[in-house]
Amino acid sequence: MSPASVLDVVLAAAVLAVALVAVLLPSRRGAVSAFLVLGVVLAVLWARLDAPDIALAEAALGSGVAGALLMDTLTADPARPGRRAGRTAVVVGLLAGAVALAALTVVVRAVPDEPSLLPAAVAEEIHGAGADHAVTAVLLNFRSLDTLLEAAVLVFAAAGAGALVRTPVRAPDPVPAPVTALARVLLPALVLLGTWLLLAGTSRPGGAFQAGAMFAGALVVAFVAGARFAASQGTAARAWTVAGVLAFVALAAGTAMLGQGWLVLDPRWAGAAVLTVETVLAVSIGVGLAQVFVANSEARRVPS
Amino acid sequence: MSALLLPALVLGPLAAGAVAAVVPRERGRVRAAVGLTTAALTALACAVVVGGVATAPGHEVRVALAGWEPPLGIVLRADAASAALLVLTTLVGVAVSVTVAVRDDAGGGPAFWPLWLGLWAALHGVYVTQDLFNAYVLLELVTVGAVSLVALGKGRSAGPALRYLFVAVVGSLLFLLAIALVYAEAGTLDMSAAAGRVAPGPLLTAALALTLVGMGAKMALFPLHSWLPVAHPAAPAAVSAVLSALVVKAALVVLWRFWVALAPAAGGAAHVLAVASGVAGSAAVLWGGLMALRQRRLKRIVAYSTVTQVGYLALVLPLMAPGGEAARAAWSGGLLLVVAHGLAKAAMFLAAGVLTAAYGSDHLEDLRGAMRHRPWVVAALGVAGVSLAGLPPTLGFAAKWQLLAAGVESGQWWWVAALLAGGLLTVGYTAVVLRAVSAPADAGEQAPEPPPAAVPTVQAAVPLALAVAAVVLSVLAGGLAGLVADTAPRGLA
Repeated sequence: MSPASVLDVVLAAAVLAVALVAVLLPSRRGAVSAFLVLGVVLAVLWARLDAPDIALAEAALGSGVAGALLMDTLTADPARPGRRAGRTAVVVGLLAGAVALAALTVVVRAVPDEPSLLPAAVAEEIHGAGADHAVTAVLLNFRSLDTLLEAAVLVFAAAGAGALVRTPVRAPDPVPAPVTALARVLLPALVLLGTWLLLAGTSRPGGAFQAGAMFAGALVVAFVAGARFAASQGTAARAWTVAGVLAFVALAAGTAMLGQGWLVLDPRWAGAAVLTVETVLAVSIGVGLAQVFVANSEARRVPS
Repeated sequence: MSALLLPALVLGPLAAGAVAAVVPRERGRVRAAVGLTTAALTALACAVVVGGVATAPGHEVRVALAGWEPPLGIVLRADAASAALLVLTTLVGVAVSVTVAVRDDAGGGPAFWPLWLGLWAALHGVYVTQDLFNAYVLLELVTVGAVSLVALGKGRSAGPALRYLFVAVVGSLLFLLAIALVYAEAGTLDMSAAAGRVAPGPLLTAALALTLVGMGAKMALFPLHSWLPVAHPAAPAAVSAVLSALVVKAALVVLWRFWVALAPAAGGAAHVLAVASGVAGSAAVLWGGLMALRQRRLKRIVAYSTVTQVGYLALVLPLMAPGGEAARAAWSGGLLLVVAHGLAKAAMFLAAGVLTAAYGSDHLEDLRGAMRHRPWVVAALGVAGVSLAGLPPTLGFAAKWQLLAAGVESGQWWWVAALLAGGLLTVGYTAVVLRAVSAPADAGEQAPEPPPAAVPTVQAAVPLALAVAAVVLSVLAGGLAGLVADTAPRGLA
């Protein structure tokens, strides 16, 4: 066995082991910690599978944003005990897991060896698609409808989360000085990283979703540090949340009425269109994710 | 023109939902105005697209988005089946929008509008997408909208909403795995292109099984149904109508499209899975009907009735399996049943909402005298019940007739038994409801008839209009069934 394949086996086993720990640990704190570790191991696994874009997204969204949400919920009520899974549930769960693993092994071994035709098709058409990086070209041009709808999922998730907070957001609690100091360091770093991921996305791994996660992180840090603008759920915040989807729909309607058809990007201006839409999307994704976090935090502070 | 409008059916309500989300919550009237305008424009666009499908050669309207044909791009395609679903969604959508515009409470407050418009857009997308991954994203949008709308219900709706979210997300993930398997074998995400590039084997069998279980969970197919009788009644009245009439159908449509495209290539394994679907469906018909008979709350009765009706729709898979004329009858009968059930169920939940608002409760005991005080609302319940039971002259009858014909033609009489038993049970629980609301005030030593609170006339008229639509449309059922059967997907031939 080559060292590389040993690494793969260890990684795959680690994913399974950490996932089991996350599910079985009775302590809530322990389960959340294991879940965060799972995100990191998964990100490494994606990187090993030559999918750096997914690795970045997993690290930023799966560990970063989801982790912040979980930790925030955890610290709200630290005394609350976790619940130990019943013995029957554990036995049935392990058996079902083993059967599923065996079945999946059989199925995955039946996957044909010949590579898909799609990467070649993408490589052939990528000139003039508006981005040199294949993943970005697929997301913003070839399959732009999917990306538009995914951005819409976040818009309506934020609208749903916001709807459950029935009282206006209160002034934040006083913040300890070290938190403010840490925020001063983290904020510019996260914004810079987000911007770099956004601009890099046209030619290498990165893009609107990863950049948006960084912006969301920056807003969450600002919120935790007591910045009023980050706590707002007012009209401006909601407008920023939907701006990406509206810009995307405007582009679609514009190309349908004035151009060559729904979302058809002319190679002459495809690059500019892709970068513009991505920029607005990244800001909207950032604000939208932060809105979900703020709504979650506020819903808990105000007992309903 | 209709090809130009097809993507607008998805992007229009989507953009309107985003705009409604920006309007401050205190401006409920502005949000309602955005919603009603969108409903009117959507109905208009739907009419154009349906007209386009009816007149186009081959009865289909097709758009390759971003100018890319498969395998690179995504195709939206409306056929006769999409047209039937669009008509149903327009009728229910307009009815629900008018109901909530008249009385804010029916939708759970101003937060209803953005979520509902987003959900509406996603439903349209599900009916017309040809792309597997696109269908997955659209189902996610449906789930986010539907779950958030359930959470808007009064009182303890958070728990049922969370349970619904867990089930729906697990269903989505199973479907995503199925999509990955199909892509691994076929190298394309386009459903009709993938149909010609898959062969019998463990991969295709697993993909079909995962889709059946995943979509079964999302549409509450027995034994994965237990979240539905909790979640649907917990939602605001107008939302319950949307969930039962339309949202469960989204998963069903994806299951049917996937099955029709890919099951013919799977051979015997697909037959076994179709029979499993039929067994689950028959159990759902009986179990849902018996549970509906035992409930004492109107919304719970209507919710269990949905479990029953989903069971019927699961019978379509084994009825289609033998192919040929019977398969086409099953396909068109199933689609007619989706339309008939959607209209009847929306009418029932909206009527239940009016009665709950008038009497402050949906316990059958509290609804005594409703027959006299709210005759039109009770009439809506009655007519809708008749259509659900599949009695003439309703659309429900036309739909079940097609399914019976399919069962008899292909010699699968045992599914016919389930169809008939379900009809009897439906008559039973409709009778229970009608008997309760017509109980006289002086029955025994019970308390006097409670006086109902005032409810806007428009809101009381909407359910009856929907129920009557189920009768009126039965006149067109023959032509509609013929069109749907003639244009049935190639996989059925």
